[in-house]
Amino acid sequence: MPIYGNRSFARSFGSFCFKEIDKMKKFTVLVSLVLISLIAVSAFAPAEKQNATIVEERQTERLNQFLLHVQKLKNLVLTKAPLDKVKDQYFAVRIAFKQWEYLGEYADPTVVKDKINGAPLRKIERNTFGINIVEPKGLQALDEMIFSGGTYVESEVLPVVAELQDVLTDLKNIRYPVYDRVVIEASRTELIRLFTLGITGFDVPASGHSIKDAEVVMQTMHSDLKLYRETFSKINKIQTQQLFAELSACIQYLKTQQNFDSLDRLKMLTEYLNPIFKKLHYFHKESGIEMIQEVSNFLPPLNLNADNIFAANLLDESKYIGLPNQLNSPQLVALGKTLFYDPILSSNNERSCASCHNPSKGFTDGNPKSLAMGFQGTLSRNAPTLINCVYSERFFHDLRAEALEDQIEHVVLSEKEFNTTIFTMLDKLNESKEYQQLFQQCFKNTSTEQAISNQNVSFAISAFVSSLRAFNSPFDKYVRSESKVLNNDVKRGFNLFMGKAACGTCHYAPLFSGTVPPRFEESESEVLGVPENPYAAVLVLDADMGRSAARLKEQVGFFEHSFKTPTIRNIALTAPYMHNGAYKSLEDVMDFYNHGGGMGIGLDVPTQTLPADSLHLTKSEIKDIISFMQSLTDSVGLTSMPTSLPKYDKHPEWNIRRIGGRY
Amino acid sequence: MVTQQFEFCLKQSNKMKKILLLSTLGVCAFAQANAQIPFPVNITPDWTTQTVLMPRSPLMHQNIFVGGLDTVQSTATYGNPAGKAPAKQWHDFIGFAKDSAAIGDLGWVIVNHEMTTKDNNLGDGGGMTTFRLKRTAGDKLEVVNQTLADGRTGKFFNVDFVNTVGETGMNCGGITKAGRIWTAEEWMQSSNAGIYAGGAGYRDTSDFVIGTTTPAGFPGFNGKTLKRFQNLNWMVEIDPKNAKAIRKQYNWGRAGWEGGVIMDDNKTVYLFEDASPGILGKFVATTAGDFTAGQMFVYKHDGTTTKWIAIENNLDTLVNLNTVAIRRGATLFNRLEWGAVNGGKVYITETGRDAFNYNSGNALNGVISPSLVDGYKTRFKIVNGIDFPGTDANAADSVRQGRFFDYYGRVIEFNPATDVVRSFLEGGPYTATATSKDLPYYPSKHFSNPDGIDFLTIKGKSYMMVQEDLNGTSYNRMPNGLTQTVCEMYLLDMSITTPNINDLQRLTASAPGGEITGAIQIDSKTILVNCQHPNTSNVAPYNNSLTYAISGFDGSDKLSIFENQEVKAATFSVYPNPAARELHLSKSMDVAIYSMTGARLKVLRNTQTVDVTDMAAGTYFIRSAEGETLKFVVQ
Repeated sequence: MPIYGNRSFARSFGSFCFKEIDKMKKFTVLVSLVLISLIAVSAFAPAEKQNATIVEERQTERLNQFLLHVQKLKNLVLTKAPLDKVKDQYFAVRIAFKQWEYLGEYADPTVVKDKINGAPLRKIERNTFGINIVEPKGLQALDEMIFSGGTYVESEVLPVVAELQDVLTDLKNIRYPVYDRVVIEASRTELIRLFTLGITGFDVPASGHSIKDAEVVMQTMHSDLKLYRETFSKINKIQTQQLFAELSACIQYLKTQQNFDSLDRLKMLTEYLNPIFKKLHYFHKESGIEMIQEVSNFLPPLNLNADNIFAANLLDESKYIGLPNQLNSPQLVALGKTLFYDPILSSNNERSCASCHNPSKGFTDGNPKSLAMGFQGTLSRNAPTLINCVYSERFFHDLRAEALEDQIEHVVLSEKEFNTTIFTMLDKLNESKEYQQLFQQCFKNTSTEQAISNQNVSFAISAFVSSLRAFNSPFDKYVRSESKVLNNDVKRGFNLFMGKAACGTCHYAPLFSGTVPPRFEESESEVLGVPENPYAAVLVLDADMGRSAARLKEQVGFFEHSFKTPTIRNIALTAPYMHNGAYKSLEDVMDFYNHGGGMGIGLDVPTQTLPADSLHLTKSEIKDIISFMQSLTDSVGLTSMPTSLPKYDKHPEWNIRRIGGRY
Repeated sequence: MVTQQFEFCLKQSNKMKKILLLSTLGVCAFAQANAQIPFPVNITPDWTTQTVLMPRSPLMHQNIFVGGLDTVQSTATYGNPAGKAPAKQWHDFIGFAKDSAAIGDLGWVIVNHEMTTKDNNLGDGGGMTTFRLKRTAGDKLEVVNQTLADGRTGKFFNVDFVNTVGETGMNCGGITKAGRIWTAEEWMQSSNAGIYAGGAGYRDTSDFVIGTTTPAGFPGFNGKTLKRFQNLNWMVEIDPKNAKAIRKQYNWGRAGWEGGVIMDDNKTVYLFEDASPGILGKFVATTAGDFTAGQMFVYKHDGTTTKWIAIENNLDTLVNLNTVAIRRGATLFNRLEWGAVNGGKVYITETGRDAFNYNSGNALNGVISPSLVDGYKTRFKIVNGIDFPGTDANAADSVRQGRFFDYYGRVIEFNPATDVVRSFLEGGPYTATATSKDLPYYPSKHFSNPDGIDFLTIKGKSYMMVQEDLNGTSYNRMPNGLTQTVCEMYLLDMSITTPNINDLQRLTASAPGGEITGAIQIDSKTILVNCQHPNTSNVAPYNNSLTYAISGFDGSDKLSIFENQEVKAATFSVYPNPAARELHLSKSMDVAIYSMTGARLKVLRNTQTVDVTDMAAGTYFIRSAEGETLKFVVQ
């Protein structure tokens, strides 16, 4: 039945309780009466019932302050105040924003991204006629306008500040209710945001205000959580003391840090953020306060039942694929694995998925670009790893497919890959009794012909590919406190990755990919300016147009040469690197970034999203970053191949096909 | 000047609010305190409580046509022989042509595919799929096997555009009129490179000469040459029974047409452009039923002698209709979508846009639609607590300058008798009319970015079926914390003269990411609906675009289908609404749902409805914050 769900029901998350001025006046008359009854009710109510109310009032005031500071900033710009005054007021705006952020962004992440604190890049307007480009707006745009040079341009800054003011004025009229559940879940979500987007410097591209920002965020959450101290104490006194000690210690630590580069992100993660993340989960469960799965049918990929930011279950892989949970089974994964390694899917029975996604190479093929069907040259790009690839909004280097199930069809139809049609592929599968049985076992309520369908083949393969998940690398084990050992170069490398080298502002932890935290619902692409051949005497920009040539609706200049941000996990297994496989070693890749990408090495890349200035990394720092990346290797348990493939009675010649394909 | 007024009002209202802040705090705190009473994780159910029955829905849902999964029969195209291919996706408009040759036959259904893709068999661009429906036992619908005149045999047929009128694309809305169907090629194309899309779009970018394909072209324009991209963005008439396009309606002009209506006279056509600014078009045929000859117009509400700008029947003019019309002073709308006729009036969705301004370029020649002035003034009052102090011209200036964040959109009413446009139903969790003090029961009542619209008749009573296509999740278009869109279709009883969103009744909802669209009543029992482009990561079958039927509108309880049966507890009442699969509560309150064994399943705060669509048949308990419990049975 296509009533999938009910937004009204989902909306119980929020509510609306809006008072018109006239109504307010009427209420004023009654107010003393109401207050008396309020006191009477309070006497009987449990302590925590007041907390969310207090937090909501605070949050209302935080928005007022935020708006007030934006208005002040606007007045300064209008009166052409000197740059240092404008900078000071911008910082006051930031502080007000950061006080509002953890609840504000939890309640309405889209308005924050669209209008308040989105990346300072041009975007395509969502869900509209034609292609409409939205210019950068909000705080990050201001950050760049105010801090990039020795001056600011009034006519550039003013419209951005004015629109921010209008946006916040509108927001004041929309109620975002706060419940106890919201306080805890928003806090836990904010810990991920702070770790991945805050202390990495992501949202202060020019001003470098991130440590102060983080301190303000932690202080705000601390002050709200203090309201729950009594409730938590009743559940577990010692853990409560530890929680508040960790919150205080984190704030103290941030206060002592002045230098962006030297902030110890690993210490932040292991000593403060992860322990707080875990304890808040514990108290949420034990308090009986409802949890997100009780209030909504629409659970996001971020699983707040995980108790560690690096837990294997932090993200729910089933939210990224269309396979119904009741169909997912070990048999289906096994069938998917068989299909993955079976060259019968291709027109010449010699190529399988594993041809380009070899398990021993982290499911890549070691070639700069994969070999094409019939040895007729190569595909246009480098084969990406499949381990943890399920955690994506979109697939392929140019982001053209929307789900694993969609991705498979592109390979089947491509003349350079399987070079066949859906119906030919299905007919071939149907000729094998063994395949018929395997499909029938997995899709029980369908007839034989229906069982071997386009969708079911996709489901089987995506069940297998989505099972290729691995979060037990040495680094994961260390940050989950499962192992005490981690080399110092790895520790230093992680801190550089998340700080000075700015890798973590695109390769977001804990996936270290372009899937954007803290909601992990969007895949990003970047323009790096990768050369066609970095080892050539004369460098030229790789001609591949990437994302702009992949979809009619994304044909814009700023997506030219834009490619999906891949995961860094298992990078030690997946050389060569970049969408065109042009870089042979991690050292060479790091050198490219250290120079500031394509523009840094002298190419003309007008839409490059990577800053063109040098990262100023030393040789030993680069070595440390590589050591860290190498500590993210884990393909344990994923690399075995099937021992046989389904037989064909009528085509004995097909029975000698090689597992994984001939090439 | 207007800007200053705006800010002045803002300050005043802030002051007023401050004065009242203290007094209202008490009230809010009280309401909130109630909202925070925790529900125990487990309860011992009280078996003596009253029982609420949630009967089976009198409506039956049936999936009819799934994009990507169902197989369509194709004609010989691009040198490939006639054959078959998986159906295209992105189902939008549904057209219907009655055809009751055999017993149970209902007629031909035709579905738009609002996409462009490269396809060797079905043709590049978008397209349409046609199929014949029959009713079988138990009111079930069945797609009938057919053999077409061109020899194709199967259930679903690709409409041939490539070999008839040139490729089509982004087929959004359309017109159904007495067995004839037009499709709208929305999403304005502006270059051959754009449609080629790096090889992913249209392979053929050669010039298109009108009249060189069969059936031959268009009277008056044959032999004229268009750049290939210019042969897109027209209204196109198609033949649903032969699965072929007939002609592009060049004389109606090329624009981002999203939909249209043909009036009872079978002469007058109104056309709606999805653009910002978008225009309202009118074509009047010389002879009823012959739309190849007549006069084209564009709406200008402030015209003195006439409110219609006449457009000459000249291909150079028609090919850039939006630009020409606005240069001549046309009324500017903010993304018109579909329209439908009821009681002689045309109801058009104006879907809105989060941010826009008409303060530069050609838009400066146009005039701001009264619907946007209405919308702006309504919002102004809500935001500032006072009526907009200026004139309508001042309000129009504010809209033009981009001070109106139109994130909810509206349904507008156009009266052909007077040529007047007004806002009929403002979207949003806001109050619907400037005069109404009643607040909507958010989250139960909410309505944003209307797109599809048509009318449903149940026992002579007329209901608007209005369908959302959310532009975003911000500003409470979705509940707090959610970034996936869920679109809904609402019914509005047309006997209500000044409706607001409290009057809307939810009929169906799309899967996340999907747009709900295309709703059309095909007979007294059944409507067909599309769920377009749901997230591919949704659980199947909601990972593909989908055409489904809702049947049962003529049941024995047809008049009470949306009426509720009350069950009273001491402090609250519950009204099961089987059609909507919702329990309605007598007031906005906190409730928890428990299983039969007393385990807490759901906690819903500040709500007036409890959705049971996802709840397995069985016994549950619903408990108020005060601890009062009712038993309810989902059948």
